Amino acid sequence: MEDAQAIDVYLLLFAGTLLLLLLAASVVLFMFLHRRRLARQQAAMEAMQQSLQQEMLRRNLEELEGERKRFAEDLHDDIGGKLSALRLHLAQLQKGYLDAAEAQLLLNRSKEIIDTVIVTVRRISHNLLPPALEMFGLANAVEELGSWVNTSSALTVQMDCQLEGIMLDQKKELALYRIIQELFSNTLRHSQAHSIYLSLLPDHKELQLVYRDDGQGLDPALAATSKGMGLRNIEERVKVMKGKIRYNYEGKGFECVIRFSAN
Amino acid sequence: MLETLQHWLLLCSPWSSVPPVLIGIAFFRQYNRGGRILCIHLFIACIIDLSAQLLRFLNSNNLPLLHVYTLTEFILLYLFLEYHWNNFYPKRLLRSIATGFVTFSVINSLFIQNIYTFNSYARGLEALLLIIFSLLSFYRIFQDASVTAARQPVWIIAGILIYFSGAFTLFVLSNYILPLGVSLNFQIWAVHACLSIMLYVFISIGLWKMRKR
Repeated sequence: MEDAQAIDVYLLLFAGTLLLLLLAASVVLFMFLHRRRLARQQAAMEAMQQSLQQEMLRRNLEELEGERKRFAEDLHDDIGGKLSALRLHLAQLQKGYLDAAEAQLLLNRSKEIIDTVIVTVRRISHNLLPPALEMFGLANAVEELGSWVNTSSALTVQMDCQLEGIMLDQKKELALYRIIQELFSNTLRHSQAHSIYLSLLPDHKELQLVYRDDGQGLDPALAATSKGMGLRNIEERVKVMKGKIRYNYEGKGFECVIRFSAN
Repeated sequence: MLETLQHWLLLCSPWSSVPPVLIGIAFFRQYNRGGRILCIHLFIACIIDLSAQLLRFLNSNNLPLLHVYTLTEFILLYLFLEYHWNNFYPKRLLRSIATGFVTFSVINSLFIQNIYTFNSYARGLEALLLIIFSLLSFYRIFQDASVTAARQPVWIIAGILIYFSGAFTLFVLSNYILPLGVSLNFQIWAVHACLSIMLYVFISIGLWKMRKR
């Protein structure tokens, strides 16, 4: 009887211990596997974020170097050459060997050079940061840009900017200006378009920018896999403004619609 | 062979708390509040363990120390786990449960079970509560994916869960095991010794990982 009781206690103890131990071990194993999977996912995400950041940094540096190169070329080729020619003319005038007619000719040429340099400096400064944007606001700066594209190329630009009563902060205005500048630049360089339509209109508490050209558009397959730096820059600026961007390039032409909060 | 293994397990078990105590002493300043609470528990456990060994050597009944140890172990492990819950659970409710257990344990030792016998009721209830609290801790860790592994004492909680799960039935039936004969008692308490060693190994790993690098 006592032996039977002892066996019962022993069996109960053995079964109870084993069962609870197995349950506990399963829970612990599950936790460790879960933590390991989580750590792997976090490591993969961090690696991806780091890779994206590096890619963005590389692109920003490339863009910066590209702009510096253009700036240096403009200064050296346009302004540098002309100022050297101006110096030569003034040196000749200083020597005093020339007669009145020749001196007048040199003076006129010098004036022409100075006028050209002034125009070039204005163009470079306009490209860097248009004075109209700071002094008269976005609508004015965009119209000036459109007007410049109209007169300096074979494109017809139709614009509709209605920003009265809308106060955008300086960063948003500059970002929008750069986006529009990039869109114009892409059309001029790649699209072989004849006309451009640009509208910047309020829509409830948002602003909508619509840009359209009648050029050759984008190859959808190519656009899906590799976009040029210009489009990527536009997308990054839209992301910074917490806006949304949509493209439409099926069929003829290229259309870009950007929406963002006006606040 | 089995008897030798049992003998060595029972001999080594009291000393298995020494490595985590040494780690605790070495890195005490580097631990957060939870880590320091655990270190204090280890110091007390080590002292009580060694005192129990001394009383056993002197052929004195050392079970009163177990009644004291049950209380301190529960309070300190509860505070350690509560620190890591970080207000994820209702603090008042869980503190009430903990206070209830402490009260019960004192009443049990004073009025219900003799202090010279195994406090199976308190020990069993302590094991059950710590199993539940460990599972709550794991659930908390599982839910909060933002907390990095390095800051979570997963090893320590795993050790607590495995030890108390394995020892729960033993604690509840401890007073029924005594009449079963010396040999059977040795076997059963050897299993407990194995669980105890595993607990302190897990705690050592956990304390090592918790130190600031």
